[in-house]
Amino acid sequence: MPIPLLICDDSKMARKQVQRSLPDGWDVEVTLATNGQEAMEAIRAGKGEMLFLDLTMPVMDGYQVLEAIQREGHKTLTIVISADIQPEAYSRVMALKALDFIKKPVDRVKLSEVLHKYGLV
Amino acid sequence: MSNALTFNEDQRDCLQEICNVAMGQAGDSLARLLNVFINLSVPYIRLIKAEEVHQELRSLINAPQVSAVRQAFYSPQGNQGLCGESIVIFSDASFQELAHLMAFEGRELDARAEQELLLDISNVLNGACLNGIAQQLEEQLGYSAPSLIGQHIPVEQILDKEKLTWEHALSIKIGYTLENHAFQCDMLMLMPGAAISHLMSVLDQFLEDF
Amino acid sequence: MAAPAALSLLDRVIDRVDTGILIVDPEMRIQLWNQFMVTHSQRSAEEVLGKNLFDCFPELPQRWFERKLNGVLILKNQAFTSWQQRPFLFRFSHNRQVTGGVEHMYQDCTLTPIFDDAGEVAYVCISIKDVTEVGIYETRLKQALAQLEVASHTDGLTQLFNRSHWEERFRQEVARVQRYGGKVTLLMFDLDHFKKINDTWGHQAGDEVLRCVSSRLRRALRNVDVAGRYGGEEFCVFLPSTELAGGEYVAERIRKTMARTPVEHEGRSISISVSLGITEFRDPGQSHEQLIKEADAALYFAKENGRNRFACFQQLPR
Repeated sequence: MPIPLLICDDSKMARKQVQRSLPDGWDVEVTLATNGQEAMEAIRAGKGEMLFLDLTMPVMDGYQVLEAIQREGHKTLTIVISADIQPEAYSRVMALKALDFIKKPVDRVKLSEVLHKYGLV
Repeated sequence: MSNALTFNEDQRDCLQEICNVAMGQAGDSLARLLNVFINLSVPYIRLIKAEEVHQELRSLINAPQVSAVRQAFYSPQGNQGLCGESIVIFSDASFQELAHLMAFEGRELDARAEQELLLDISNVLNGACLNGIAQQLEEQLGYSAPSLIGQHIPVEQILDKEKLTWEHALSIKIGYTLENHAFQCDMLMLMPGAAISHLMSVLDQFLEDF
Repeated sequence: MAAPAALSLLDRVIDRVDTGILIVDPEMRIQLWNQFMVTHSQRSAEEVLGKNLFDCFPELPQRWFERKLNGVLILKNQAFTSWQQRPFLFRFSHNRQVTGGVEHMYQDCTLTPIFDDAGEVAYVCISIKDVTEVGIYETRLKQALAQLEVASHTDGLTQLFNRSHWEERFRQEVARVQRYGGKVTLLMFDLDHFKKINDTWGHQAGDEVLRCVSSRLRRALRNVDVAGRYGGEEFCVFLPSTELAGGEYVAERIRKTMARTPVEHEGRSISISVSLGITEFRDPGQSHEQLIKEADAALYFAKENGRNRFACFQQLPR
């Protein structure tokens, strides 16, 4: 059965960039969200076992999504993909139980490294 | 240059994301320089005509008095490539905060050290942000030394002595705020029409590769 | 340069340009030292190559410069320094020894990262431009502008503040006491029978009298008092943080110093005297214009009552 994968970013290009960087033949069913609110709705609907999450977004940002996931007790595995590359941003999302952090711009190599690290592919 | 110089939706989205990434890099540089955490917000990008610059400045910058620094950037392709001037504007109120943060061993900064700080921070932001944009677009940029436009001047005076030879300006408002400090600086990239046309074609190419 | 036997074209150019070029590695060891640097530092390339920059030049502002260099290394970004904020990096002498009026070479520096194949900063190239000429001209321009500003505030004949500048200063002082409280006393005075002096002895004598009055006035005042030529033979002074009683004291001193000694002009002694009017700032509603009118009224009263005397607005008969 394919893994329900949610990609959340306000930029169309960034979402495409992530989709393009997914490993070949990875059995996933992709849902797209353009802000945190949409992402939470998708997660509640069971479409987000895995989440690739941007931080800086309008309406509801990535930090708030991580908090909401914890609060609502979802089992979502979140990998943050962000342009905010300050060490402090990294430690903040890790404290909010993100699985890992990838610096933008994302590419195939970086993404598959992280996925391999956690045995996800 | 035609008045039809506007970004389509894809170009805008693409530039926005490129600026996001570049801003992230610039924010990281500033954070390392100041040893503080920088709160990033979504950059506000607009393409304006030169004659709208003053109005744009007034609406962007919500401060009675500011200090401003200019720095030119240029490409090895000359004025056919990415080139123009970047203006970094600090509100006076926020700069005092910053000067406080940077004061060595509690000593207040003297006027020269204050100017140096303005120039250094502008240089770091311009370098990091513009290099970030250029790298993603696989372009190269060089920079002139930054120079002071003025300190403690009203917003209207930032460009009032200048004869604007730019037809269009790409206005990128990047609000860097420091946690627990009132600090905001804004960046305005002014480019001649040819450079903006060039930017558009590079964006199109970038989008085609998708 | 770590010079091979045959110098390349590039090496020759680097040694001929009128710009200082040096390269350091991340440990601040000098890797390149061009002829400009040799000439101005009087240190040969052999002496400095491979050595730590700060060991060779302990007079460099190390902390500041290291911060700059670290910025280049960490942020991988160019950095700049300008003579306007920091006149020089290296303490070099310059080529305007005779006419320059400055002690050291003004320098604009650029610090450029040089990357290795892995994209890391392997070296920092520091180029140093001699901008002494620019610096001298800018400094002179600033001086000229400052002189111009003084000139636009000063009355040519008496070297006191002119009316518009004095009035602006007085307006600010009144605004200050209106807002923050405090005292200010205003004193206006006029030369007695000045028209007669002009008519009898000529305008040059009249000018000499005005010059003499203003120099006596300056000597009679404290540093904080602000004097101006209000017009013709009329003068004005405001005394910050001073009550009416203090103003009376100053007025009497001015009256005496003017009347005591005649003015000498081309062998003639010209006797002079002045009449003065005084008023003080009393309530926050008073504008500076009102105060000037009051002092003028008191001055008129002093004239009417025999000249060579002062009168206070507060003591005028109603």
